[in-house]
Amino acid sequence: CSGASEAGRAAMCSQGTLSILRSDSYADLSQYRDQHFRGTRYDQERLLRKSCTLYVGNLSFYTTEEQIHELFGKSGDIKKVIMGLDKVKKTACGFCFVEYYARGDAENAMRYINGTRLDDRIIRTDWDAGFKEGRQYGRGRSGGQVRDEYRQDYDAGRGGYGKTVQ
Amino acid sequence: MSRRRRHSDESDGQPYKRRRTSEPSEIEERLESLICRVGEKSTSSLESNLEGLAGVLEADLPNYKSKILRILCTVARLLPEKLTIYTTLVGLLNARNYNFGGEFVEAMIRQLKECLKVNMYNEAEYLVRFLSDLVNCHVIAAPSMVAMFENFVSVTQEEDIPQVRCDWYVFAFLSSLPWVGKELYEKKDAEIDRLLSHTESYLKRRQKIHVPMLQVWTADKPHPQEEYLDCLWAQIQKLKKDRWQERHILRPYLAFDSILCEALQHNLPPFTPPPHTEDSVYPMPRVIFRMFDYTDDPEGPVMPGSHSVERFVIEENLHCIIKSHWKERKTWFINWFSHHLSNFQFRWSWEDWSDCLTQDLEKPKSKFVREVLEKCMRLSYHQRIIDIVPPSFSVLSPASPVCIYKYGDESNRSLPGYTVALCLTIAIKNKASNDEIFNILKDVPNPNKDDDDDEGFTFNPLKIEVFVQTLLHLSAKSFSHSFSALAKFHEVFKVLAESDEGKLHVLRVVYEVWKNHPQMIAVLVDKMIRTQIVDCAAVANWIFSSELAHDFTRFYVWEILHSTIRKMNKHVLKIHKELEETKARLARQHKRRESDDDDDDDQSSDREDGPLEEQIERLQERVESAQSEQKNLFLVIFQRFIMLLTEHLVRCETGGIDVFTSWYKSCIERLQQIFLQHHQIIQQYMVTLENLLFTAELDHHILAVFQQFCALQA
Repeated sequence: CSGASEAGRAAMCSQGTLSILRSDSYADLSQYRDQHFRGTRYDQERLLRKSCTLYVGNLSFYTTEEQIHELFGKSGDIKKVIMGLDKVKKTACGFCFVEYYARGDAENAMRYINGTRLDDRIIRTDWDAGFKEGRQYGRGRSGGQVRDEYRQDYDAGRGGYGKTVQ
Repeated sequence: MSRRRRHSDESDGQPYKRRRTSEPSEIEERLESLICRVGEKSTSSLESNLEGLAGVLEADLPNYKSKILRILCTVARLLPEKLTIYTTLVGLLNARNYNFGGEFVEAMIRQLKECLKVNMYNEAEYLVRFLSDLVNCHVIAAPSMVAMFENFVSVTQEEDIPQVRCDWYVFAFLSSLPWVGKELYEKKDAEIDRLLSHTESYLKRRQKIHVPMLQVWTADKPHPQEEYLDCLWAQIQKLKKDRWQERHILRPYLAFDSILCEALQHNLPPFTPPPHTEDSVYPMPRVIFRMFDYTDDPEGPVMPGSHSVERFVIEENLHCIIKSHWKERKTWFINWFSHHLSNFQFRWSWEDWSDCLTQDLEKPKSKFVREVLEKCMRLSYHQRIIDIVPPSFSVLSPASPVCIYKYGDESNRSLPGYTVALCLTIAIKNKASNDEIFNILKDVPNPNKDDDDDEGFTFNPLKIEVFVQTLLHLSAKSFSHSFSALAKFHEVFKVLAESDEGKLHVLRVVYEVWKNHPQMIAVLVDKMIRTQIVDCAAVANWIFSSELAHDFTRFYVWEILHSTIRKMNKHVLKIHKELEETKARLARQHKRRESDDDDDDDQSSDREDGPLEEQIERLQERVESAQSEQKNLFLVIFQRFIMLLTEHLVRCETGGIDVFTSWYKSCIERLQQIFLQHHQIIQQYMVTLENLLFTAELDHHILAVFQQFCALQA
């Protein structure tokens, strides 16, 4: 494939694009911003926009790294999966990080895997600014995720009732 | 924030300037939005929206003509599913402003030429169709469109050009006819008949060697898999027989006939197809793959027949929508099916498929069920799958994904290396360093040699066996544990697997330990390639080795091979990109120096170039080395295929048994898959392949696959 042809194609595509075709709402940033992030809002958003790492939430406590690898591997080669752990028990507490080698593969996961099921649960993905040691732990008072502290319903895949109810 | 605002209020004219510069781009955005949204759901009718928009654009022409031209050309190229809406819009504009219509046509022709030059054939097809529909909108005169099609079809008379070039131009002509056939035939029936006759004789004489390679099903029932041009020809013939009546396409211009027929038309400038060059890459032929026909869904509205032009139009529409809107969501059937099942608690009427239980496991149906169940297990867990399928399906259920450690049991203590394995286990649990591991391994005898080698740098299969078995067993808990183990003892791996035989043996041991857990094998192989413990050629050789023969037709094996090839390809692209970027940096540096003072003496400028030039030279070497490794990988794969298939063919012929076993069919298809999936790269090696591997002496069964592949770009 000649370089001239590639350059010509690039020129064609850049001259004529349409913003409605650029619409990519599934891969856009959500409203959520990690409050524990060290740095300015601007830095955080810059990192989110070039990140290859996704946060994955609403997992069952029993979902394994292998299952996550299989599902998220469909949108591209995975560099690393980091399971979220209860800070006290050091067992899975229902979230994880998935890091891809290429941003495009992470975007495809946001477009096609977010909102589908894993272990019969609808999972949710969102951009993450990048894993740092310590972020694999739940931030709830009891050691799990905050959402499991206060929820009122019974969820068999997430330890039953919320911690305050128990 | 507020301080800044106060400041700007005080400064001279700044807010005023800012307002002025933001206006034009706001208007441009508004224009683009208006144009893109026409035809979407609205409280007013499409006709009144088009009329309104035409009025707005006409008013903006004096100030924004070039912007409007650009937007309209872009929607013609990128929104083919709304083609007739935009041709009608252009028709209305042309009726109000003849010059604008002329400029638009010229811009479209320029865009078409550019697309053809840079091999953007999909877009070019949409542009040709757009131009032909402009005839219906009284923008382009019918005779001049016919003249363009005459130039297209005469490409079939060119000499020494690939068939795929003629194919595209014929396709561009035929595929426009559903839109404009009626109008052109009314004005120029003799010319159209002549074009159709030339087309027919071309279609009769063109080669169709490529077809078997592209067909998915082996039988032609219930859905024949026609070559795409043959199918389109049949559809156009039927259309002509129906007097060019086409009922599916939305034609908004009909409502504006009284306005449009008053407009003056433009003649297309004579259009010569850009000549064929070495860099031209034409679309590959395809086979029409259909899963449904009019006998499916008898309850609903009647589905058009396979040779009806409506079928063509609908399928084109679908392709357009999928291609342009893939980002906003509104391969392999097994991957899709297992993922689909996982979203519905794996509920399926498995009993309907119970006939495959009594078949040979290699038969396609049993294979399909086995592979689906394995994938389902990967998305859940083993016991779940056992629970959801009827007990009779246990013969097809995947194995429990447990690790097999040969030194695990006391009863294995007579195995060579057993004591070293025990030693290693304790050492690793006590966080031993790489050096300590080397020390322990020093005591392992080499079954290949009578006298022991001192440094252990030569291939020692027993050392590899003991180390890899033990390490994988200890880290079997999860992927992360295994990856950590690979990383921690990377140095040991590198030394043990230094030789080619060493690499192959590491892979063999990984398989022995994890043969019940194909997913684990795949991720370990991936990590080992990325950390350069093994290389791609070693993986290819391992896949074709006798140890893997039992699993050779399993899907996971091919997933590993294709993943390996993809990694190799990405690696080459990455270094190439780095080289191009560094060259660009050097060019920029030169440019900067040229614009600087000429007083700089030559010596200093050479010194500045030095490091970058060195870098470029090194990168150039790395690119060449990577490309050579990539070529070698494909040659290894093809060579092993040839060896394996030849062996089978010879065995069958001497034994007088039928060649076409399930295994053979599977193997040939895998070979085809390699060609098709990586065709762009493989095209570079055609000469080598022809002279070295796929020579005339080869069995014709194998050679046919290569010839069919050659025919795809011939």
